[in-house]
Amino acid sequence: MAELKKVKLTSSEGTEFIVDRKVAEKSVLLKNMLEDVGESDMAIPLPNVTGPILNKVIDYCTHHRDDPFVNQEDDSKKVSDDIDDWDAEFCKVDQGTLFELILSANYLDIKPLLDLTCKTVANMIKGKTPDEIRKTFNIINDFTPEEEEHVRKENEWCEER
Amino acid sequence: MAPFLPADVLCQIFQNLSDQKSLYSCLLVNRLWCATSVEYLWSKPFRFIYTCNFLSCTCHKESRISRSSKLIEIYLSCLTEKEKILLLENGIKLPFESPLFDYAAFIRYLDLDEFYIAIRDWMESNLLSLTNGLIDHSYDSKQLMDFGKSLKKQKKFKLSKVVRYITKSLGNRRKIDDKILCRLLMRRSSTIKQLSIDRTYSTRDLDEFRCSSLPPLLDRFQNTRPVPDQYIMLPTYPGAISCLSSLSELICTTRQSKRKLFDLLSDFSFKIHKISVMMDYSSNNWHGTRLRKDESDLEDEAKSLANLIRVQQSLQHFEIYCCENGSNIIMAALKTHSKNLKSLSFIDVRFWGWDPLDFISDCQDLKKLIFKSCSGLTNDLLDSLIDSEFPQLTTIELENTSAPVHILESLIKHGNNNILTLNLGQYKNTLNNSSNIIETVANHCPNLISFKSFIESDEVPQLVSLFTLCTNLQSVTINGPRSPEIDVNHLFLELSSQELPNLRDLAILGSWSFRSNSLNQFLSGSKPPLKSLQIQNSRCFTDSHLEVILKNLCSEASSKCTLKDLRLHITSQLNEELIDKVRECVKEDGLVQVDYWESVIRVRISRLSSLPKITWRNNNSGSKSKYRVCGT
Repeated sequence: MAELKKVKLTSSEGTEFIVDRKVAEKSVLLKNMLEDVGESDMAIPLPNVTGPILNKVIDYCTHHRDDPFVNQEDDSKKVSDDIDDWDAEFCKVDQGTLFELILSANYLDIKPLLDLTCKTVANMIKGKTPDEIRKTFNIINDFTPEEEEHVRKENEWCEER
Repeated sequence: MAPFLPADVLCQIFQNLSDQKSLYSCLLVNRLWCATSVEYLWSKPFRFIYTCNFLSCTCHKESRISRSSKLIEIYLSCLTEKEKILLLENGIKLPFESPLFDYAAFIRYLDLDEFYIAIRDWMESNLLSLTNGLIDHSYDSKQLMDFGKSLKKQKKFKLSKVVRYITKSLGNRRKIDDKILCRLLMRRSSTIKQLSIDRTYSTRDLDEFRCSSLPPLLDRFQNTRPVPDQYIMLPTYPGAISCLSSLSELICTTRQSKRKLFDLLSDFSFKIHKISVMMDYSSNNWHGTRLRKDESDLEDEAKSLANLIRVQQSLQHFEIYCCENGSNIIMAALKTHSKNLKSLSFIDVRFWGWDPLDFISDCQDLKKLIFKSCSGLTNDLLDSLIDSEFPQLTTIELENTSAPVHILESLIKHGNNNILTLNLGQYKNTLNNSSNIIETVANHCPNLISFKSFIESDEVPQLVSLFTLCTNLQSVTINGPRSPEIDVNHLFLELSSQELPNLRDLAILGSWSFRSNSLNQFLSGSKPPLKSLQIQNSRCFTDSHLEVILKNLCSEASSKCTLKDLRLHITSQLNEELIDKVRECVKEDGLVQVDYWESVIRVRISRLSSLPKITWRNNNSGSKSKYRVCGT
């Protein structure tokens, strides 16, 4: 049976992971690749994903292996506080790991994982001042004072609340 | 160190931010964040300005006008040089400097009412400079001379005359500005996703409210303030065809004629997947009375709406308010989308005189079926729903509405175990005297998350099955008669052996009677992680009941401190220290509200007896909020 087939994945350091094809197919990139390649025992190299991150991604895809494919147009309204308990626990990682997960989900094209991790980051942004955001994510302010003033001036309608 | 997030990933993150404050913060973080977040902040600027949180809105008219005019000025700075010159010729001073971004291109959600308010606010803030303009003689000299002559004729200088004159001049100018700005948005915006004149606020989230500084929706004669025609004619401006061709949501819940808008959109908006409309208005400006002319106008409007519905490629969500004329034409048009429709809502609809809603039985993909404050849901109207299969149906809501119980039972039985949200309203028993509908729900909705219903005393025992079989239940609201009280001690004792690991919201709105030890057994036995508890119309609730709540839901020691919202509407006075204790437990983001009824009425009556001239109403709901503790 095709569903029980295993797929080999290699992380950037060369670590090999063997997963069920159904789990790997949560990634649209891998799904398309597997469809193109057909039957093959060759490991698929994922040079953009490190071993620990790939491990996390596989955890996620395994937990959500039976979820139905969600039509993006279906629920247009995005709500960032509807994260279920398992997913919330999954995202309790350091910021470096969280960002790596976002980049991997983006690269591997795993929409629900990308949504989840982006929602988590969005929740970290909510209610913060620009300075607090910079501190939280270790971002350097590259505006010149004039530029910043100009942006403020044109968006003055957002102030005074 | 955390890796760098590129712009496309940042976009994904910003999509999840729906509040202006956070997006504005993102804008000021650094250059990349600014360039990426700007389109989200400017996708619905009018919505951001006029939507407030209900509890914290302290906006003043002046600050709103200032914000509106700053926004409009930035839009005006996006105009072409030629347009700016035209405005200058009309006495409107503009900065010639071009803005950092083409802000007008980012708009995705446009509410014509909000847009109109913004322009009016901007005009008001410009009143001062206009008066100065009069003094500077930069105004139309002939008009000014006429004005001067008329002033000379008067013995006394009348301020009202000046105001009238300025208002008239403003009216002329506003037409220019309205049109120029409508044109700007149509020309620059690539896609408007949602076009609305939303008077019911149906597009907002639960915690989003209309800013309290805005003018009332109705005038002193209870009439709707209409949005002027030049806004309704938006689709006629150049660029509208490409801008509105991908329109996906049309929300028109204003009580004014929308016929022109429907007709214009029918020519090039074919991708609308959500329509929400109010099909009622009276043109004679007296709400509640309707002329024969209005009825034929409404009939024509229904025809235009039906045409708009027909030309859509795939209409998925349809919501209709107050429709008495032309309903059959609209429903016939909806029939053409029966394969596409996923949600159908009827609000404030009186179905008397409607043809049967047969087309619903063809809507195989229907997920939501909603009736709110409707009347006339008869057997004949809904007969076709019996034995119809709706494999995708997740939501049935009958808020403040009654429907025949056997039809509801049939819907639930054919729901294919997918029903998640169920509001049975106040269903009617038409076939036999007793109904087992709650049992039916328990047996056919194993995945139910939210349940609301009116429940008579003889149906209370069925609730045991509901709680036992529907273990995913998160929210339960039970309405019931106010008198006589229903004794539910037995129910609570039976439920105490059943764990309710997901129950977060419980609202008991009918008059239920229970002892504090029954409540204790229920809460300590079934351990619901209640975040919100509401007990209304209760005569039995006393201090000992509140102690039980404190012990089971607010005890930090047992890590069960889940309660965030407690609302009581009771008769016996509670110990204030106890209430304070609960207040301390719900912390700053929680709410504790204790209202007293009956006792308050008695107090009022005794006071009123000494003041016989004062009349008072609401003797049934004569409650007074004693405590309202909100977050700081």
